[in-house]
Amino acid sequence: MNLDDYRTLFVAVSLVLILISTVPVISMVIPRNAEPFFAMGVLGENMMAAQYYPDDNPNIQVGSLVRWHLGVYNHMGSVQYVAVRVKLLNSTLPSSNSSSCVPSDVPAFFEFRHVLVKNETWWFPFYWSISEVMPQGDSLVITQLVVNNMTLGLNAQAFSGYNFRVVFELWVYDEVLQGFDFAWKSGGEDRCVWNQIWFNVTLSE
Amino acid sequence: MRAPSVLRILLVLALLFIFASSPFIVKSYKSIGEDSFSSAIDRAEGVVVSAYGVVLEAERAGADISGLADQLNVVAGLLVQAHLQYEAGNFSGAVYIAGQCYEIAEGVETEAYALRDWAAVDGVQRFWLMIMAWVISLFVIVCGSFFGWRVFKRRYYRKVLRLKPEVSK
Repeated sequence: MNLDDYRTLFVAVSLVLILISTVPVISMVIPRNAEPFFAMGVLGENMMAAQYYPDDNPNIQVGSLVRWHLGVYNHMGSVQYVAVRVKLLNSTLPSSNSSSCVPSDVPAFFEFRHVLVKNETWWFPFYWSISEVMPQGDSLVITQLVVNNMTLGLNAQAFSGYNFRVVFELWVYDEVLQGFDFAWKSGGEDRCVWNQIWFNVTLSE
Repeated sequence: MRAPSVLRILLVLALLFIFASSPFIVKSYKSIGEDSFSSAIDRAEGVVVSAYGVVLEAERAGADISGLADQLNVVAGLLVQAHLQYEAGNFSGAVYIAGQCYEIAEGVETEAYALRDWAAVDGVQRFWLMIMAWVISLFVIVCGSFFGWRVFKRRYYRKVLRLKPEVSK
């Protein structure tokens, strides 16, 4: 190597060092653009995607305790105020729509609220049992549920007690709307998340 | 004899009117009561949302808001309880819980304002510190390269001058 080659090497090393020292300043000024999203999941009794029903039997009897665990993950890049609204539907009632982000029009019988910090996953139990069922013609009507030791009155019916479903909708507080919204913005588009688990109700074994 | 009988009829009519209208009076009184209970919850909702807004601002300013988020979660849980109590018809319980929400959320809001302002000042200080550190590092790199190059060049020439020339045939 002659002197000119060494000079080129010196200049190149200096430029690389200048570039490295500039990276923290640039990253401080330019925000990172990661796709914002929420994720929501329902796990069974042992925090696994199994054992959703007592004895793995989806025919739930009055008084049987069902143990589910719900998880919500915040990847929105900032703190978020969220609500998980729980609804009880049958197979004929319209459910939430993922593509148009329209929630089910059935009113929620229970709600969880939480303030999620950036990248936080919030797990919480949803333990429930049916405490009162009334037969009405060919249908069974659930009139009372116990959720996390709280007794709630409601009125949800299904033919012969078949195909009830618990729907979990994630609602996000929108500062512009000044209220909870069943959608969030991601790349100019509305995104939403909801989940459902089906079950039947039996009056006896 | 006629005057007392007219009076008696009027009295009976008045009593009948009061008796007939009492359910409406009680009902409207009850609805006024429910409205005030509901407005207590709405007030609590308002202050929670306002506190959340300030917490969001504090986070944008660069503050660590995990402690405030924990407190807000307590309030959020209480708010849900207040709504459930209200729907179950336990209005006084709902108002009591809503009052607790209001107090805690107000505290969170005040704390969040302080944290936001502190974080804003701290953020500006950190920014200028970073800029200063960057300028110093640039200066060190440029000077280091310049003087390093001079030293290297001198050594290089010395080394070259020390070399004995050979004449090849």
